[in-house]
Amino acid sequence: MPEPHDSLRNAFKDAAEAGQARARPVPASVISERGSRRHRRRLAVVAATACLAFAGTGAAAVTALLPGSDPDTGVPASTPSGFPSVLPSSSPLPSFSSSPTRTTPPASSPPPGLATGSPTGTPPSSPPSTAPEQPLNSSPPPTG
Amino acid sequence: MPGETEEIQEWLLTVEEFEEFYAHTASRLIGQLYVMLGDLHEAQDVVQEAFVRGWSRRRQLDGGGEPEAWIRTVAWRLAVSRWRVHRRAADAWQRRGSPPADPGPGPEHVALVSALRELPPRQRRTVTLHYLCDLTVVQIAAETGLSTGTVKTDLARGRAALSHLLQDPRAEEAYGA
Repeated sequence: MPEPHDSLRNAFKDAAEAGQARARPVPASVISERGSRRHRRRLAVVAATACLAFAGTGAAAVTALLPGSDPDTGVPASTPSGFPSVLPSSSPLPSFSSSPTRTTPPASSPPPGLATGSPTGTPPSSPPSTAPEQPLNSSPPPTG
Repeated sequence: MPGETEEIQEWLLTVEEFEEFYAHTASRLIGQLYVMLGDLHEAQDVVQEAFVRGWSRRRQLDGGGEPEAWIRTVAWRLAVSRWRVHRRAADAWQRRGSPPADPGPGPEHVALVSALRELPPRQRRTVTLHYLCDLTVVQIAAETGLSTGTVKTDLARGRAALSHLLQDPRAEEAYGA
């Protein structure tokens, strides 16, 4: 005894056979070629992505490991005005203040001209300290 | 037997056997997708694309005898994606004020395919898998990812809609039974 759905099932199979009869599938070699090309393209994309990820990770690691790249440990290039210097007072480095504290060599090292003990150079061009000086508290002459 | 299964799996892995698998099943799958989609060219395109995708994954295809189901599922999903694209394109055309020309059903379409077009896609797929691919409710649920209750509901509603659209007294009798 046929099942009650056989007519519907036959109608489905007839419709599928009608479509199957008019189907023109491409040759299998075309499918293989397209599949192979797609596979190679996916491999290339995966390889490029891996290279980019590796390069990015390497660049980030190099940037992080470079000395002085940490902003917390860096010293500012110039001391901001109004703030004390970060260098301690006992620092051996000379301080570059605007008023020089010493422009002559230290006393322990005589100047080159005085090393022999004989005056060989010309006297200094500055006027001698024995020149008469004007009294500071002298009153001006009476004018009339 | 596990040994035989492994042999079949290995047998399905080679390129030559994949091409043979394609030659044996492509026309049948095109016919099935034609009934599901209602468009022969669309069915050929999606089945071909599904085989192309299956070629690079042929080592991952189920060697237990279900590579055809994998191809059918991929082809169906491709068709659904294309529908969405076409629907967006149709919406865009309507916004532009010039809707695309509807070719309408041609003389080559049989009555059943025309009636199936009136069904929702999920019902169409479920009914086709049951009546054309001879899958049980459990097998349909496994292939579509639906629950068995949903599959039974889709089958009942699909039969009712088809009996109304086809005006076939035998179909109505079958639905009543």
